[in-house]
Amino acid sequence: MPSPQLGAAARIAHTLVNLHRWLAQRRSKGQVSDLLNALEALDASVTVALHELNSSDGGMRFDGDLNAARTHLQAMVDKSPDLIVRSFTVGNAWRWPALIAFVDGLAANQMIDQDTVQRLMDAPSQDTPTPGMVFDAARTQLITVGHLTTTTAWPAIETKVLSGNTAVFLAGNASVILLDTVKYPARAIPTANIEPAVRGPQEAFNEVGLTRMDQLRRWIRSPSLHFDAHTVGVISQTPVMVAYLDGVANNALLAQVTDRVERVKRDVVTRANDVAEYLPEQRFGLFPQYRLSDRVDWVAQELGQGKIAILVDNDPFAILLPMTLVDFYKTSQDYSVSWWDGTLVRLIRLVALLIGLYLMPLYVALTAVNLNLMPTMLLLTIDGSRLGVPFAPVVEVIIMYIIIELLHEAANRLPKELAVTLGTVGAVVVGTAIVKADIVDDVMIICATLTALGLFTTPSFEMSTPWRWLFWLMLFGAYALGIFGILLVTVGIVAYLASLESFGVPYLSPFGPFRTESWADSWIRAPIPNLRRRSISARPVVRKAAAANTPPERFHLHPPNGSSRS
Amino acid sequence: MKLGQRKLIRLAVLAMLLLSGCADNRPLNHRALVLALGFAPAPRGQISMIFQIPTPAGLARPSMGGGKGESSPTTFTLVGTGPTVARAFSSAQADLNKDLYFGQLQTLILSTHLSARQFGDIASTLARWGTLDKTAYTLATPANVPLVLSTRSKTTPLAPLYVSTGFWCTHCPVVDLKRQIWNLEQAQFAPAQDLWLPGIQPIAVGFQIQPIVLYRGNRVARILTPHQTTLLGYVLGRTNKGTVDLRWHGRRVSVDSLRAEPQLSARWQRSRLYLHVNLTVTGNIYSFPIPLAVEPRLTWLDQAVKHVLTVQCRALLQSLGRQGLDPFQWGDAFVWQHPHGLKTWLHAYRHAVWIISAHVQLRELGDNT
Repeated sequence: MPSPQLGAAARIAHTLVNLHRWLAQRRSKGQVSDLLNALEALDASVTVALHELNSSDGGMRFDGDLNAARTHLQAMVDKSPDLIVRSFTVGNAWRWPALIAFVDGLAANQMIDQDTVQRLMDAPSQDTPTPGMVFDAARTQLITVGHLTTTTAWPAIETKVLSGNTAVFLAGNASVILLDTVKYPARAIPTANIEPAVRGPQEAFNEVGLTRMDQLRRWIRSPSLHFDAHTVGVISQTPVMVAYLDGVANNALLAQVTDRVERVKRDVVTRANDVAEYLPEQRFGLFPQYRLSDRVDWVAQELGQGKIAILVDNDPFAILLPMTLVDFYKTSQDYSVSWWDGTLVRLIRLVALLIGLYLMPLYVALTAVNLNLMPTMLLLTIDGSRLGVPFAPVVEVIIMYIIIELLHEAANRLPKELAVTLGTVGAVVVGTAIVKADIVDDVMIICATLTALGLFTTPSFEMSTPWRWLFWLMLFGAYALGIFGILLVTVGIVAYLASLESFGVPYLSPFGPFRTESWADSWIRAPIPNLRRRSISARPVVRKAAAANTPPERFHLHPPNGSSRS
Repeated sequence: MKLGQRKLIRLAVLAMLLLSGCADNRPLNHRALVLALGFAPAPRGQISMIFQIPTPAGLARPSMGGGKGESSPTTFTLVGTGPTVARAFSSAQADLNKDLYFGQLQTLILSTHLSARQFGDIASTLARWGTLDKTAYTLATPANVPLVLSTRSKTTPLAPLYVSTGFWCTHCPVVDLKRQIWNLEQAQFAPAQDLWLPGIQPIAVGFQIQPIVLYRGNRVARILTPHQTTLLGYVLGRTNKGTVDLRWHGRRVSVDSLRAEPQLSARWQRSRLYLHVNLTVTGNIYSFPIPLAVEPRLTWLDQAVKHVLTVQCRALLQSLGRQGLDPFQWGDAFVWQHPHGLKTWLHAYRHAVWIISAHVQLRELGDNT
């Protein structure tokens, strides 16, 4: 007995059909063609709804009705032209009705044409067909696509088809064959331009998740490299892979990260940061608790340290976590050069940070508040260079810093070739002109240049941002309280950093808490054979990363002086 | 965070800002940097304060002087006069549109003609001056103070920096006579301590900083000669490049680069004060007038230098002792142990027995064979 809802829907459908016919007779009049199109779409939707209501499972599963399937698929994406739905017959004698559906552009045409449709249509067929026989023949003998699954659930079919798979519907069979024909249009493997390195690997990720997994597999050819698949984005259904080294990454950390990824509820996820900003405990925290990197070697190295990488589809940047402050000052190149070089550049980055953060506030403190602390000759030089400058030192600093930020942002927005020109314009033209116009003094130009260099020397872009914010706080402290203010703000920053944790890892580790055993790879970089233990920061399951290795015995290819020649 | 805690933090930040004194901060371009400050007596018992401030030309190229030529003055002199230091300062400040700033003071020059009352007023005011740089070098001059401050040195065009750059190098001058404002303060509040300051005199090519000016209380007691200054420098451990001229059979022998490490000790014996000064002297000899074996030559030189130094130092120290002048802070140590023994000490010091001994080690350099 039909339900009351079903009766009402049938009456609405009947009325619509009548209306459709009546309007079709008046199509020549031209005013109602748009209305007709809308009605056709509504008709299809109502038909699908009726079919679903008629089905015992509410229409959530395919029931072997090809017409209903066609209507369902077309209703799914309305009139989007990229969804191809085609009817054909299987077997040159069977002539068994079938339907194939795929998204044009996401699926490999060759696999559909040659390995699927042609094989099904030309299949030799002699016996009297039954739905089961046709299905088995198609699945086991005819279709030559490597990866093949079956399902009956519409949600799975919809998701798979929209991801680039091809669905084959056979009349009378409730099971649908899903073929992995995914072939995204993708960039070639790019060079790591965002995090450049003079030496070492130069490969970066592209946007395709599968490619990125393959790239990582090339770096770590071990079954312990695991990728846990998740899907985020209620509408976008974006695949997310949580990559880690089984047996190395801390299980509690992994469980926590997995849980946080699962808790991302958002309609559309378009980039890695859409996921990343859900992960930290402190949403408004100033310092980044994860690092984004598109370098394959770097992600592989961090996985080797027991860290976790999250790969969000369509974004070449992997989310690396947990991170400590010093982790943001490491680069891939540090390990591709001698340890002397690696250590030197890390220390230079530390000095650059101090210069970037303190130089201009110190200038303000020493020229506006604590004049007595400045060496006399230097103060006289500054005083001399400030002759004719109408602004107080703090105003000069603000002017120059705003110019730096403007140049930085403009350079980011412009094409690379123009950015170089802009740098020249900023450095030479504006720098010279502003001094000649007596708006700022010469010493301030030096300070501003060094500050900009210092702040942007940070290898990780996300880490330069908090210091750029804190710069203003430091400047305010310097202006209000001089050196004391700078110290006060410094104490505040250190206290804040000491209180911060990234996924349970103290942010100042391995310096706070004080763990000297992990210092070998922090602000210094010890020789690689000496880096035998993983850093304690991520609490890896296994600390040992390499076997003890004593330096090789000395040997002489040439005989020592004084010995007889053989 | 609780609401009360938030309020407390806001209150603390507000209080910090209001109490910081940042409203009084004056940036560099609102301040007149006083690099040298002089005090001299003025008519009718008044005090003159002489301020030396760099001119724009001096600021433009401080290390090179005027920049646009030697004729450009690198500093200008501002004078304020009043019955007290405070009034003199106000008088000078009224003539200037910038804030007189003493945080970068390099040199303080005191006239030796200041009365005890004036000297006391100056010392007391300087001790209480908040922004004053207490490390500024302090000197005394018997010459006219404005003349000293307007004298230009050939080596350091920005005149106020002459003294400071000279004193920065401890081992450069013959005698290291570095004294700072806090030494002045120290002597003010230590009754048994006699202040001494280096004397400065303008000369044709700049300045001469050589004689020591000794004070008793707030008054100048004695100005030593340059030779006496060198001798006192040995006992104070401040002479770096002393010289002694000797005669070897009528021919002149010069010993250079003499310096001494003093060891001072005092003992009481039968109510008599015995003051021991033991000098370990080193020096160089570059040439000897006649060929002589090294060993006897050096032995004679050691003995001769020892004799000269002990005799001359004893004469100077006994003379200072008779005047009751104690630049060694012996009296300070005694009064520290015996707070009511100042008079006893002064009497004993005037009649003390000075025992000077010296151990001389000369090095022979150059070709003396």
